[in-house]
Amino acid sequence: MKPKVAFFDFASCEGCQLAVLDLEEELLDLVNIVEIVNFREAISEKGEDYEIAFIEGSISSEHQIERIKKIRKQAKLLITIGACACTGNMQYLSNFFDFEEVKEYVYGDKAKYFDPVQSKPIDQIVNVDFQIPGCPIDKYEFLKVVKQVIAGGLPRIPNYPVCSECKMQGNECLLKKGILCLGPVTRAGCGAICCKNFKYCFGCRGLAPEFNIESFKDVLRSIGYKEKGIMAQFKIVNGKDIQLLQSGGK
Amino acid sequence: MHKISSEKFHKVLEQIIKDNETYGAVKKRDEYIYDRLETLSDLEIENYVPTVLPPKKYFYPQEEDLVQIDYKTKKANRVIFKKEIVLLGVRPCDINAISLFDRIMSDGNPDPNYLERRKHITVIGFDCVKSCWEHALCEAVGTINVKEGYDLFFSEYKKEYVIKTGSKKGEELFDRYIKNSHKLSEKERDDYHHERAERIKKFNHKVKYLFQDVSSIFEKHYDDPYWKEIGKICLMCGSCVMVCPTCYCFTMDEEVDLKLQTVTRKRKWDGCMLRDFAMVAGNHNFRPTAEMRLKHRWNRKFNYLLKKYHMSNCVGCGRCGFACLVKINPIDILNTIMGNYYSGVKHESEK
Repeated sequence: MKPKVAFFDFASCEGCQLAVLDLEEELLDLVNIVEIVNFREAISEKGEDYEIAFIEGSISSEHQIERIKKIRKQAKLLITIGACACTGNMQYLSNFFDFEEVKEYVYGDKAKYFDPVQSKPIDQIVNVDFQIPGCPIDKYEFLKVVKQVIAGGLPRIPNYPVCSECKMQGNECLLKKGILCLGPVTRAGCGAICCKNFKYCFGCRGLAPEFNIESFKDVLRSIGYKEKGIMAQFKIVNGKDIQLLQSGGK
Repeated sequence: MHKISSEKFHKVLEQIIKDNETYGAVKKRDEYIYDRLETLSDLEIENYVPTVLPPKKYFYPQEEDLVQIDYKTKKANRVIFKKEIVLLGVRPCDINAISLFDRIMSDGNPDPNYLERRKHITVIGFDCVKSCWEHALCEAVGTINVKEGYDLFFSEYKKEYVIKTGSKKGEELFDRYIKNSHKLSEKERDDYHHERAERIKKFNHKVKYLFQDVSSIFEKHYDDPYWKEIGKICLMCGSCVMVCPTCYCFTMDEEVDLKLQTVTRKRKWDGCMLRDFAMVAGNHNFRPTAEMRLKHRWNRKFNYLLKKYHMSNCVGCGRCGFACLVKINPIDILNTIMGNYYSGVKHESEK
């Protein structure tokens, strides 16, 4: 019996689901080991008897809260995919403003017709069994997690920072060139794809389980960045964790 | 011992690159990496500074398959990746690291993957005539000269190149590629050795204390306060481990194929500076802090493995010191800890 799988999206660009569909070479083999019953980006059927749910996007309305709770009730395994669902991504920035002002900015005087809530990653609403981070996700990491789940093992993604992976690739260090790169505090698993292409890491895979933020801030100050700019860069994807850090939560 | 002219030297290298899958130090943007050589002009000879990654990646790749297991038959097959390649222009620090790897990998439980792959890799070394960068400490740890680990070795001598062979494979290469070489006269030989000894003066002399005492000092100053100091600033990013030519620690990972028929057991680079390395069941960690990890890593280089293999396990290339964003480096570690020892700074347990 092939396990039944569903994909659902909340506030997101749906790029992570497209990343899954981008597994062109592997898709036929993939549907041989799982049965996809619900996947708006790919099929018209809408089966509700799924066992594994992949969730993309963050929660930003009362309606979505109801919907994710319903999915959690049905799914034996709920796996979030992408930065929006895992860390809250940039829409989490609304948490740093007065919410009434945010609503007015977005909806003007029509705000009363909507039911928005401050943007939240999925794990702040329901229990999440596993997270596949990234903006977008790495399709091969997604595939690896699926195979691990189907084979009955515990999925594993790297717990070390991007710097390790970046060095394994033999890349030149961007921080050494004075570029604000979040590699030393960000979870690896992306193959340091940005740094490899000479773009700084903006931390889309979330903070690594272990980091030394104070020492890292000193490094950034020593190459000319100011506290405000550093924190702004951190908050782009990791607003939730930075909020936790600032309140002494981590 | 033979020598060839500089012009001949370049011709020989050109021919080696033409005939073989050859890798060497190539400039990529601002730094050097080991990469495929298409022509001799790709290779950096004069202004070499250590590459981002050492040639270790060819002997001991970042990730490799070890065993494939068939789900149905429960049969396991060993997988060994190997390829006939030539590494050109490997420097003494890296050759010393390769020779150390050869010993470590054949010691105790020999590593079949490494040893089999090693047979297919030809190492052609270049001597260093001057210090490459300020991070190097080859002079202190005694890795300016090479004894083994290479097949052919070229060293510059009065605008010409002296050739040494280090193996049977090297002798074959010599016969194949080097024709019309001149044998060094006795006088030239003495002069050559003298000049090579003299050149050491041109290297960094940044380590202030005698290196031969290092392991006993590291042992006596196991709780030196310096570990705490650098432990505070360490980012635990693992860069030092990844760029090290002598670090060989690894982790295991299994991956099942999409048809759910075979499982592949893989070996991947890991390092003692990273969280999961000393993590055991129940989320317990033997070395939870950066301080403990730094102390462990550098005791491996200068104490535990030095005593076991009778040579420094830091070959002094300086890659870690360059890669470290908070400037933790072996030169400062040696100077501070040996300095603390000689000046009588008390360590933690004595306070």
